[in-house]
Amino acid sequence: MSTPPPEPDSGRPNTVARRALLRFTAVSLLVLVLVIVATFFVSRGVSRDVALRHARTRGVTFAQVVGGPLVDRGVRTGDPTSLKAFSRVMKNRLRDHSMVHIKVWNRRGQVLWSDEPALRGKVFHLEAPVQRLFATGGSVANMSDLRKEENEGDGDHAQLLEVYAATHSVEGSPIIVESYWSTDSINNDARAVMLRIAPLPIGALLLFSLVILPLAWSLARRVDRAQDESRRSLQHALSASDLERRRIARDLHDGVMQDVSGAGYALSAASSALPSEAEASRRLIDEVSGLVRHVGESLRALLADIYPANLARDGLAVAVEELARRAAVEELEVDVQIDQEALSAVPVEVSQLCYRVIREGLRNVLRHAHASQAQVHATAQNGEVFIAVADNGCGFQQRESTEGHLGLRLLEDTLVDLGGSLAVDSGADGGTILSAAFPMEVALR
Amino acid sequence: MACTVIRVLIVDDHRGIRLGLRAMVDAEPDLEVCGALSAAEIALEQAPSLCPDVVIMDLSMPGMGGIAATRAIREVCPQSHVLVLTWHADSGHVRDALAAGATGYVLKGDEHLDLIESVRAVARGERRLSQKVAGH
Repeated sequence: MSTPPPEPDSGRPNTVARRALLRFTAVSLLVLVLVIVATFFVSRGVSRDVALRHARTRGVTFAQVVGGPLVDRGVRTGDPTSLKAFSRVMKNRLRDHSMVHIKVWNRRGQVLWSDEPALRGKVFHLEAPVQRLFATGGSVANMSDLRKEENEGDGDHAQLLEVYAATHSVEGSPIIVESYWSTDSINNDARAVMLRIAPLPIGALLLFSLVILPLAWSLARRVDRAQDESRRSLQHALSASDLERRRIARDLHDGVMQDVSGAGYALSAASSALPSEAEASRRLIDEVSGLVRHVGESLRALLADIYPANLARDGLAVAVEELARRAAVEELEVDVQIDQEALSAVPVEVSQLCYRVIREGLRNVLRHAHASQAQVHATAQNGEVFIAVADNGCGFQQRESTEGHLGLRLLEDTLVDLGGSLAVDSGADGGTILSAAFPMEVALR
Repeated sequence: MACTVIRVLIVDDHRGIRLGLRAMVDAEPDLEVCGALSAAEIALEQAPSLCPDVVIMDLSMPGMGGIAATRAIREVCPQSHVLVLTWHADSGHVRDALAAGATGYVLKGDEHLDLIESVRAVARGERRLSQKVAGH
């Protein structure tokens, strides 16, 4: 009856070790991705700050060393000759594309010069921080806002670094030289910074994972082994108990049962031997003889429970019919439907498991369901065996849960180990349905 | 004598069964126990000389089992009919016993009167099966 325990390494699909490792790997990968993304944004932020600082320095230097000293009265008043000379120098500076645009402002917000000729002479509202530079000197640097009116024509560049640097014209008038710098440097710097920063956290994380992984694996394996050990112990206990039950059954069959039968026959003989006038005594002896025969029948039923019918020789249907006969003694009418065609060629181990499921199901019905009728159905399809034991009793709600039922729980463990399942549900019209399914091939392990 | 009294040989390894069965059979005026033996091998030795009309045969016995003994008895004493008396109610045992030459097959849990009636019927050569196995 007992199903051999699966081998510890026989490839059960969901071992604790495998599940734990999968979870660990998934979490590690997630953390790694998060660290990479965070590193990217941190690097970009750092690069942007560095680029802004560089741009400011370069912008101020350009304004004070190149731009400012070339703005003379002619440039300020729009003299074409002066502007031409100024333009030549500025455009020369723009050639290497590190600087994209140049504007020169006076205090009124007028563009004295711009590389965009259309803007020259126009007056714009300068924001307060920029306006303040005329009084305080210094510089303001930020990412340029391309929506600003003064930046018309800058559509080619997604974003630019904008530096307003205060300086003085040749005559000493306060002017502001506004320079726009390409952000290409930011991306290059970000890449460089990231390459320098990223290896540290990512490497640390990978190293940590490499150290932890064998530990996690070893722990999970230990849990697996403990579970296997516990399962084997249980199976051994069950086997030992099974052997003991068989020994008791054999002793009962060879001794008590035969003696009881013999005593029954002797009582019948005694009854026959009584003279016709001893009617009362004969009736008494006949009743005792009937009782003795009943004791024999009960013992036989008990033994049949311990010694299952010879499944290998007579097949599942015969064995289950015998179970049904015994249930009938306890006033449970059992309708047996065994798909002989589908189950005739199955190995004896599969028959044994079927028998065990049905026996446990009927036993459950007899003990808990208060049912008068039960149906047993067993069939096989596409390499899987299906068994159902239904009754018309009080239903599952009022009965013990499967959790609390040792026999069913052990059976469920066995089926789950073999890749199958066991469920106990309420029937549509009341009563309970115990259904089991397990693969035919796996049952052979 | 041989025409009116049915001679019965009991073969069963359990003493309790032999005792009870002998008493019950002997209590019937038309039946007579000519021997109660504890092993199939002894039965084979003694059957030709005992000349039983009916052999009540147990199936589960140490040594030669009841099935083989039935076959052998039918060979050495073709006039003796074998009535199997056992606890085995499964169709496999019934089939094997009948194939070995048993005329009847009754269970130890059957009504005692049915057993006595089966002895008489088998002695006439009629096939008798316990109602509990007749369906197989």
